[in-house]
Amino acid sequence: MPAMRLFLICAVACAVISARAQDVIPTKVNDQNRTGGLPFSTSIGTDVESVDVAGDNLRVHIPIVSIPGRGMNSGLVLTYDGRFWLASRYVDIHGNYIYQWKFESRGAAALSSAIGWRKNVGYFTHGTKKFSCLNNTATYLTNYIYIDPDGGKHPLAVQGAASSACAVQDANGPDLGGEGMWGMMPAEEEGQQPRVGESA
Amino acid sequence: MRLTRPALLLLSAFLISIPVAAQQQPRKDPQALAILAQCQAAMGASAGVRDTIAEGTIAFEGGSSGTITIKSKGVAQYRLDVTSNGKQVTNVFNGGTGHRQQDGKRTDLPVWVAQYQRPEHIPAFSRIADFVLPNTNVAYVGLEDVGSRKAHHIWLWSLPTDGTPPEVEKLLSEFHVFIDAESLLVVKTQNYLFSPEIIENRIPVENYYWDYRTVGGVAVPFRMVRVVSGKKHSEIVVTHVALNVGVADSDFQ
Repeated sequence: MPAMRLFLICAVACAVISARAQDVIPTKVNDQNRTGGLPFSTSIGTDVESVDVAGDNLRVHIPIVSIPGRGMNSGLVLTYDGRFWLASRYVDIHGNYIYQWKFESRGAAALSSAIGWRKNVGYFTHGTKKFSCLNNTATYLTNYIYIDPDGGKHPLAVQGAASSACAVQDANGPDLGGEGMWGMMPAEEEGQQPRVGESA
Repeated sequence: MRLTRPALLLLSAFLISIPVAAQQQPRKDPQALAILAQCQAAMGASAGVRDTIAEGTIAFEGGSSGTITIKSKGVAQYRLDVTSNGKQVTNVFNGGTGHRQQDGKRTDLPVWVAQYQRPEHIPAFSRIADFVLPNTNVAYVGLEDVGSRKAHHIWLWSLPTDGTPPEVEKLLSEFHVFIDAESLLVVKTQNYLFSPEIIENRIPVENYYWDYRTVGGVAVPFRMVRVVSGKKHSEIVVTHVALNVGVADSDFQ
C-alpha cells in the first residue's frame, strides 16, 4: 500500500514536471500578462479577493503565515492571479506562425500543482538569443523581467552575454516602466540572476 | 584520519570532473550508432543523391489546403514553397541561416530557428545524417510503440562548435528519431518549433512517415503527417519526386 502511494505521488509529480516543461517564459509585459496590482487602477472586492476594473482580472490573496520582524515583516501568502495564459507564437516552416495558448512560467513563485496560484516570492525571468556576429555567434541573455512578490512585472533594460563573442555592455539599466527601479547584472562568479534596487 | 580518506576521495573526484567537463566529449552510444547506420543503408542515404524536388498537396487541420514544393541540395540547403488560399509562403534554409518570403517581403529567420533545419521530406537526408558529425551526441532511448509498430527511439543533440553554452545548444539541436525495428525505415521524427523571441520558448513537432516508395535507390515517404504540440497540424501527400535534376544554388539564396 505505501508503495502504491509512493507510485501515485511520483506519477503526479512527473505529470506536473512535464506540464511545467512546456510553460512559456514571458518576453514582454502587455495587457495579456500584466499580473499583480495595476498602478492607477481601481479594484473591486476585499483584501482577500478583488477584481481589477480595468482588465477584469481576478486576484485572490490567502495569508498563510505572518512573522513580525524588525522593520520588515515576513510571511507566506498564496495568491491566485487569473492572467496565467499567454498566447505565444512559433515559426512554422510550412507556412505562417503557429499561435498557441500556454501557461506562463512562474519561476520560484510557482506552486507546481495549482495552476494560477503563486507564492509571494520575487523572481526573475529571462530568455536567450543567438546572433551571427563577426564570423562568430554571440549568445545573449535578454528580456529580463523582475516579478515582485505581489506578482507585478517590471521589465529591465539589462542584458548579459553567455558567450565571449560580441559581448554586450548592458549590465546595468533602469526598469522599462519608469518606476524608479535599477537592474544590475552580477559578476559572473555571483551567478546569472540580476538584482534590482532603487534608481538614483 | 577517518575523515581524511573521504575528503581525499571527494577532492580527487572533483579534480577529475574538471577536465571531463571541459573536454565535452560527445556521447556516442554504440547501439544507437549501429541502428542509425543500418537505417541509413535501408533508406538509401548512400545512393549518390545530390539534390531533390518533391511536389504534392498539403492539407491543414483548419480546413485549408494547397500545394507544396520542396527542394533540397545536400543536407544543408532546403526550400519549401507552400501555396494556400492564393498566397505563397517560401521558407529557405542554407547552411544554418534562413529566411521567409511572403507577399514580396523577405524576413530573415532567427539563427535558432534555422541552425538545425534540415530536409524533412526524405528522412535519409534529415538531421539523422548528422549522427556521423564529431559534435553530435547519439543516445539510444529504447524500443517504443509508434502506432502499431515497434520502433527504436534514438536521441540526437549537438555540442557547440562556437562559444554557445552547451545547454543552449542542446535546446536548439534536440532531435528524436524513431526507426521501425523490422524495416529499419524512419517512422517518426520529433524536433521543435521555436518562438521568434527567445530560444527557451519552443513546442514539439512530430513528423510521421508513411507510404514509402523507392525512387532512384532512396526510400521516399509519400505521406507525411505533422503533429504540433500533440495535435495534428497538417498532412502532406507527395505526388511527384525527382532526384538529381540539377537544382540551382540560386534557389537557396
